[in-house]
Amino acid sequence: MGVAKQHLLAGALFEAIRGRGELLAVPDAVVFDLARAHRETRFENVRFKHQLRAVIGALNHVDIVPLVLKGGAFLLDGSSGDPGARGMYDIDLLVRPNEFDRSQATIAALGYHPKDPLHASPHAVNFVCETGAGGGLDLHRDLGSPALISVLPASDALARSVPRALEDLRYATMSPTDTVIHNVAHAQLQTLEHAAAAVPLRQLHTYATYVTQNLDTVDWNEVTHRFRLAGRRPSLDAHAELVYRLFGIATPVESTLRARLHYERCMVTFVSPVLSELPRNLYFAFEASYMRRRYGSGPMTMLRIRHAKRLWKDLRARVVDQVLARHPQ
Amino acid sequence: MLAPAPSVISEILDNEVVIIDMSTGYYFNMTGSATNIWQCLMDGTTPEKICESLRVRFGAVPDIPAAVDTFLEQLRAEGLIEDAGSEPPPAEPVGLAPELSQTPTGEQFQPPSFEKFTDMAHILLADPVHDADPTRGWPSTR
Repeated sequence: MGVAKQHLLAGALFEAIRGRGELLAVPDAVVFDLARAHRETRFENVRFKHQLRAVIGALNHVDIVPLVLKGGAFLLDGSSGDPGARGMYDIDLLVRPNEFDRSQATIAALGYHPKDPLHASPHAVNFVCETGAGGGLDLHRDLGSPALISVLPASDALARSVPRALEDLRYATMSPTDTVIHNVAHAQLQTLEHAAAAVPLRQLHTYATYVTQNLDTVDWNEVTHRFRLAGRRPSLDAHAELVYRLFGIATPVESTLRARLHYERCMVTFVSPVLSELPRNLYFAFEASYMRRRYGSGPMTMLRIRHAKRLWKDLRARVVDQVLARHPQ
Repeated sequence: MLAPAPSVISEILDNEVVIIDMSTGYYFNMTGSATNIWQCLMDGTTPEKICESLRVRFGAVPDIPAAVDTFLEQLRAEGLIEDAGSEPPPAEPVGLAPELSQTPTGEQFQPPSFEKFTDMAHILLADPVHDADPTRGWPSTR
């Protein structure tokens, strides 16, 4: 249950147990907890959908048709099933470069504020909503890190996007092929899950659900071609292997020895998350664009040494505070 | 004419409706004929038209008018619906597909009811990025 909750999949777990008619076989306290998580996820997602309608409507009003990414797209077209099944953190929208400034102004006019620029991502403006009115909203100028973009640039995703309508709202979603490419690249490359041998359970569940519904509409040759061309084929194979082993869903992506070994490594880090989190956190703590935003120009090594000194100072202060708190005398 | 209150957002699923009152954070779950009634309310309607829609769907069940009246009173008391001006021009029975408007569907009428949950108001005030519990994850908060 802890794992399901951590990965925003407690609602999906509840639905799976209920769908099999096995709720009576589960202790009452667990059913109660899962049902509550399911309800909370529904609450969040109904609110996200309402928020999406308002933002898309405002963008349409200034002749912008946004490309809705990831969970938001599944919420609008209903492809992720019950809104209680899959949790999400925020809304992600991609617009064309010449529409970016107008989109930003339109979203700001709705009452959203850009997040602290120091912690903003370089490929998107992260907006937060007034407390209570909704969750976060990321307005993307590109799809993510250089590694992700090497597999799927925003221009390609926009050019191949599928126009959609919901009542009088106009929006677009990625093509089925790009949806799969983006899911894998985002899960394995954007947050370094593949390098760290971590298990991005929610994205794997999304892939399993989406592929089950769209297996024949995905151009698998294009999927494999994109990852091979970018030199990222192992991350695709590893993702498919994880989905097959954890969810039993097979795709045309072949199972390689390397992917099978990666799976074993993932199982080790799953039991001992520190093995994957430590290197990944170190990478993000000293990531080049973050160093530039924080300290400006200069040789990268010097910026990183400066940041390490700062982190060490903060850490030492925190340890001293904790010791003093425990032993006030 | 009755319609959902402006602070209310809702989502119609297969056989149920999820309703959230954004002013209080209260969550409501409706099933059975309450789902049909809410569908009618979404387009703005009157109690008489709701009863007519239910009669078309479930047949001439004597309990319908009293059940609808009680239910609308409950919704009003919860602040989920309000008067929304004059009646719309006559149209097909609201919320029903044309083929369903001819004869009863054979479904059994279940009196409308809803469950109310007041333990999620904290979600309205929480931020999924910064307030999520690091161990249990969102929507559990610190």
